Amino acid sequence: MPYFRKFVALVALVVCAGANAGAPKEIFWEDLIPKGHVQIDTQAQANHEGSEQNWVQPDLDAPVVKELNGQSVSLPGFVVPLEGDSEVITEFLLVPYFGACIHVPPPPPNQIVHVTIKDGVPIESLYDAIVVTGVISTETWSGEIAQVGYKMKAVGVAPFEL
Amino acid sequence: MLLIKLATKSLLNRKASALLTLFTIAISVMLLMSIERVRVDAKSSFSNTISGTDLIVGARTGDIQLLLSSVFRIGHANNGVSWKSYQYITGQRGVKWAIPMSLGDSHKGLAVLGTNKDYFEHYRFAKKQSLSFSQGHEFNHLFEVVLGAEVASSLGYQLGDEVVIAHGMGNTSFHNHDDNPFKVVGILKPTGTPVDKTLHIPLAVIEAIHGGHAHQHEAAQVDANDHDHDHDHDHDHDQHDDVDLVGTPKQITAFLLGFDSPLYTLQVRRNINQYKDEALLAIMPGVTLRELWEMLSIVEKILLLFSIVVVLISLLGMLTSLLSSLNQRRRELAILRSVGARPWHIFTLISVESLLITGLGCIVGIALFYALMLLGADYLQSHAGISLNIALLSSYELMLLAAIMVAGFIVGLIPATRAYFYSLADGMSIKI
Amino acid sequence: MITLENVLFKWHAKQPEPTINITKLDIDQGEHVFLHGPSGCGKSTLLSLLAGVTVPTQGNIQLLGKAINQLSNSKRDRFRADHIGYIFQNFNLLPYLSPIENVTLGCQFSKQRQKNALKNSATMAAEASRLLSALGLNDNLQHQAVAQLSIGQQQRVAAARAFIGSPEIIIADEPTSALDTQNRQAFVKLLFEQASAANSTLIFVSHDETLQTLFTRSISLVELQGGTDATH
Repeated sequence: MPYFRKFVALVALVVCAGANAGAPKEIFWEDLIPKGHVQIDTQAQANHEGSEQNWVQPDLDAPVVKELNGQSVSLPGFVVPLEGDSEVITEFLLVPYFGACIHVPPPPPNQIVHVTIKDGVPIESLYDAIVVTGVISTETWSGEIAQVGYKMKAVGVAPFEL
Repeated sequence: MLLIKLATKSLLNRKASALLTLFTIAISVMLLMSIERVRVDAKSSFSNTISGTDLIVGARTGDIQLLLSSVFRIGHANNGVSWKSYQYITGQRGVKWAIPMSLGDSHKGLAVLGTNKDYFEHYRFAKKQSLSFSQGHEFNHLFEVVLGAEVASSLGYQLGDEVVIAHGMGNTSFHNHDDNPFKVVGILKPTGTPVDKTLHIPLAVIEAIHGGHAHQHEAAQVDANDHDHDHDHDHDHDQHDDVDLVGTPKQITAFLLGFDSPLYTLQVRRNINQYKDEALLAIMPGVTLRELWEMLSIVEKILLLFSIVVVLISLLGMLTSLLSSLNQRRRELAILRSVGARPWHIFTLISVESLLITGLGCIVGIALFYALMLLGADYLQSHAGISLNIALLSSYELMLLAAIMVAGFIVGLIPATRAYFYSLADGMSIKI
Repeated sequence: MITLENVLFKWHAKQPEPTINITKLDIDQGEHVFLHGPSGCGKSTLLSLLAGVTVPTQGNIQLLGKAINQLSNSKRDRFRADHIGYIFQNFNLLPYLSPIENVTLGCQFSKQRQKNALKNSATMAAEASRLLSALGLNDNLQHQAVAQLSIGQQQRVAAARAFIGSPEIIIADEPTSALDTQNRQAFVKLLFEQASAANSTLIFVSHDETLQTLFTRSISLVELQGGTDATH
């Protein structure tokens, strides 16, 4: 029947589209900064005595790329653990460079991703870079300072190979 | 089958040496399993002690020392955080909550913690679980105390009891004016963390424990406030907010911070670590715990290595006993050959014997392991804060047992092969 | 049904004199043969060859029509399990099995012997018991620990084991040496009874001349090795 063939074709199309949509897009840290935005040097910002008011976050001007919201991506970085147990880490911050580095100020909020992973993942060494794959979202939260930032629901973590 | 029956009867005939070997293996299995279980549970207990806290802030000592002294009540902080710095930092925009902590006192060996009501609301442990009360509620007045589960059970305190908490000893009678008794208003549910062994009092009263003028002032404040109370104070919490549970201490030991977003954490940590007005240290609990594990990992590996060596030694004992018995059993082998047993049967017979000894050794070892765990659980909980999980064997532990069985089998191959060649060479004529 | 032809056996290839050198030896079914010779003349070796435990360096050994020297190791072991019962001079029994279990061991490795045993009794244990009784061991003794039996009793248990399942060939290697003279003849008579009942061939090795008279056929191993034809 011709209808059946059309139906099969439609299903195939949807599946293909779905599969393509599902394939995570490889992004890097520059992709998290909107094009054209000049990122303020946080070191300079921090030294500013006048920024006492923004003690928790000197870089108020750290916009996010709204288009990334809801996309499936994979992003390499380093892990700063937040929650977990002796076996796995269930929540962590993903940053562009080794998190405990004390020589440079921490990255601005649009260069940090707050990652949660259901069931957790064992992470051998914080010194090694990993690639996190999952759905990234841009969030605004209320507080005394209105801020935006990236969150990710990760589905997988793999070691980063150059 | 036949060979298993022969192996069993043969072992029963050599009961003394077989049992000896079996017990050696059993004890080594018990040792290995116990060490591994305690190690895993200790790590788990530690990891489960604090959750949902972005930063711990204290005097600039060392990361691990701050973590251990503030959260685990192990060791002491030599220095504190000035109240001024505390107010400045917690006053920053973006700070969602702050819990001040004053440690260093003890009551009959249990830690006394001075803090505010936010502790009961914001402190989390083991995957963001909140503290909850099995009886009563948090403190609302100055001379009230909330007990951790262990404190109540081990000291036999109940809701409504009056407890004297004095600096140093706590045994003096409360008729003495210098000592203010604290009323037990709440008992927390067990958490499996150092919270269970802690007495929680309002920060403001830490001064009172140390006696002196401050205490008289507080007492006056208490008396004044008490007059304003309704009889039914459980229902009217608004009035209780008037009681300043925090006071203005000069110094606190440490404080916990939670922000509107964890994305702030890295920046605040840096700011505190570089704070010019006072030498302070901020740590992220998750990160510092990992540092602790790294430090301990070498100890863990050595412990594991030792227990594996003990298992190997016991298996070698089995090897020795089987090999030496072979010499006396050459006649037995000849008899078996004469009734038609093939050298392969002989090989299997000895192999089965070694498997039986190893297998039974493992089973007895597991029984001993559980006995040891049940006996030791209380001690570990009260003396080291480790809550043992007396559950079934984990897949890791089963894998350890499987490895021991395989090792026993491989070790058993040596006498089995010997026996095989004996039976080939000897045939039926034995040089006894 | 036992035939040896030009059988030569050396333990080591460089051995100057062969341990066994038999041109011909024929034994019929049902015969009771007394095989004698001084120590060191190769009795044990010959028994080893007959039982299929060792293989001749040269020559043919035919048992029940089969050339066992041509069989593989495992086939020879199986042949022995099926067709040969063996009695040692001493220490015949496994100390960790009861007398009954020691006897049933005789057919545990052979389905054929199991079948034969079950023709006579309902279970193998029952057959073992029957044989032990026939050999003079009462019920009490049958369940006693092997270590508590006298030598004579132990030898009789060994005999029962050799006979259970009616193997065609019974080889007894000086089974009476450890017994006192009184009991030796009695033991031999018991062997005759059982062998006749199953029409098995009995090869009895001994250097006790007093027993020789009980046998219809006597072979001197020394003479045998000397190259003479040992036929009837």
